[in-house]
Amino acid sequence: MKTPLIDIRRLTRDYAGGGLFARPSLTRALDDLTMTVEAGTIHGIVGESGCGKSTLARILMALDRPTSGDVILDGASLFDLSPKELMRKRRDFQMVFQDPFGSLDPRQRVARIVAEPLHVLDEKPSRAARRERVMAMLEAVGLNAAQAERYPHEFSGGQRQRIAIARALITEPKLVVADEAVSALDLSVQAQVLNLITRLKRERGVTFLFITHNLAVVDAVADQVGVMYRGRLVESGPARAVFERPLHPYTRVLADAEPSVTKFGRPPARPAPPAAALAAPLTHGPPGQGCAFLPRCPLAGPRCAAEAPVLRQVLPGRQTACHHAEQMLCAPA
Amino acid sequence: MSAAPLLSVENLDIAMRLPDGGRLPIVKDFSLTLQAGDTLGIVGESGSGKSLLSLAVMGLLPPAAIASGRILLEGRDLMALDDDGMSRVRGRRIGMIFQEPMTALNPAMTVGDQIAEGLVRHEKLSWKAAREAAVDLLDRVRIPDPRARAKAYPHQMSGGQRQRVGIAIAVAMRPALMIADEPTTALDVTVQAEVLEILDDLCAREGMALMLISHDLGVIARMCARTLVLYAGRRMEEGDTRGVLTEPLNPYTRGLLRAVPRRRVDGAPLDTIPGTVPGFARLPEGCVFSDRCGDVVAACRAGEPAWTQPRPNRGVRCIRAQQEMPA
Repeated sequence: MKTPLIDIRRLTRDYAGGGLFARPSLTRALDDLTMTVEAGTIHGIVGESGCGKSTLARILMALDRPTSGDVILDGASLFDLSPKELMRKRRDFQMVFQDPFGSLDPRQRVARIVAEPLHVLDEKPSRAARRERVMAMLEAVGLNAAQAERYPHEFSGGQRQRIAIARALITEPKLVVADEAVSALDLSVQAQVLNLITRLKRERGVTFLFITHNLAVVDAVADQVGVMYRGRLVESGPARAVFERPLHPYTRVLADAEPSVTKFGRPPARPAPPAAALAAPLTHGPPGQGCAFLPRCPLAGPRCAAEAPVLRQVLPGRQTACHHAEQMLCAPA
Repeated sequence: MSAAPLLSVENLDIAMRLPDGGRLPIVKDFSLTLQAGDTLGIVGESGSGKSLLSLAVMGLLPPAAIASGRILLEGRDLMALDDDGMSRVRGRRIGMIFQEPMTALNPAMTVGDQIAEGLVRHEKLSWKAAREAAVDLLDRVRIPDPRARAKAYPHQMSGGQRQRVGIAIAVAMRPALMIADEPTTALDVTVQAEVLEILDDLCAREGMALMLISHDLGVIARMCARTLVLYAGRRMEEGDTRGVLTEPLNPYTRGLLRAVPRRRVDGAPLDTIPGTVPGFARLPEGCVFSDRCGDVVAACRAGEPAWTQPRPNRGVRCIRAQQEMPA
């Protein structure tokens, strides 16, 4: 069996909340998250705000440490590395951010912005070699050499995101984490950037962890997808199969809520959570024991309140954390 | 159709005054009519002039903007009103919902008082009566436990709840026209669905006309009976939403629809519109879309196409559309 590029093992991250006037509290941003990402794929992560997807990105970039659990990147544990080793490792993983206006230094020329990550290389390339790499990279993302001497404000949002992608790829990383990388772009340029990401995967073998709240975008580019809810992975599998037939009610709720140019007018009424299920958490088990999605789940039953579902394989390559996955499987699509 | 329409915008041009004394035209040859209860979606990418357009209807254009043409609300020319007159219209006849509910609300005032404020000012209610009305309004935008939540401050609420407060403020005066500028762009999809449903219900129940401005074609398909497509300050196409989105007449609308991300079973790349939205200072000669259009011919660059109505209730700005339209 092939070793995955990233092996995320039981990752948990708690943040201490509260403060001067509030009672101290603990927020669990990631809850026992286990997943793998194969090399040379686009792996989508979808979920709404607060689901922990950005915390996951920060931990994968070693910008934050987990409370417990581990991340094995290319065979080595990310958090066992010495600061020096980590610095050297950084050439292997890079990030593209959401805001193409905030993530580029306005006072630097594009050539310098794109060259910046080269500082982490062991052997610093010569000036000429550096310039050559920057030019080749700009060309690879669809910009030209003349644009290297310009400043970020001279570019549109889509072009800036290309610059950010060029910067992320300059060290020839194995993994690029893209956190909402196309969300701020207009429709007509969004497709251009999505095509660029697909081409970079195909031609350069770059692995992308593509984090977004937009299901249609993930459906268009991702090979695999993971759906997160309240810090947990609730469903994972091949993107096409997951969107064609979700095995977790939350994935279905997300897909139904997403507006589409083929859905006109008021959507058909959605089944509401059964009242019995809503009342259930008060009578079953200690709080926090049940399924986190229960209060919003149309399929919720007594078992969901008593026992938190664990991620399990339902079909080959398809995992879901739901007691009613078999029911989802039989339900009309 | 003898009664005056609710809103009628006639030949509106908006230009920005430049520091060097020149003028930069933004919105050109814009007209629209809205009847009571109509729902109109205005689609546009960034730089299409869609927000400037809504500010013009609200009478909130920045001082550097020069507008000509007429904006008539219930027969009254808004551009002829002074600040006080416009302020009264804004408060009572037009409601507005903004994109970012956190910055649109006052952080130092309870949400109940922010809703009540307009009622005190414009309806001359007592604060006691207005606060009571505010609780009722919070209930109508489906905030649970409205009496307690009326005493909350914006930071104590989630983004979806804040946007509901924004809606409650906008509908408090029972306006005849509601303008919503990207009202759900900052929200998660499930929250967006709830907020759109609340807005839809309120507009239908109160008979309010809705002008919804968005870059999201899906949101417009959900909410609006009619759609107007804006590009570089020009109307490119208008018609019933289903017609515009299923049988677009303008190549720009077709390009936008093709660029909507979707899975390609053949592994082919997604369709794109080449290039980027041009700045207003660098618009191409002739048709503003001619430099990105796949169907361009020499005549497109000769002059800006006029607005035409090839069918009842459909308008388009494209010379090719006229040539190819079946009779």
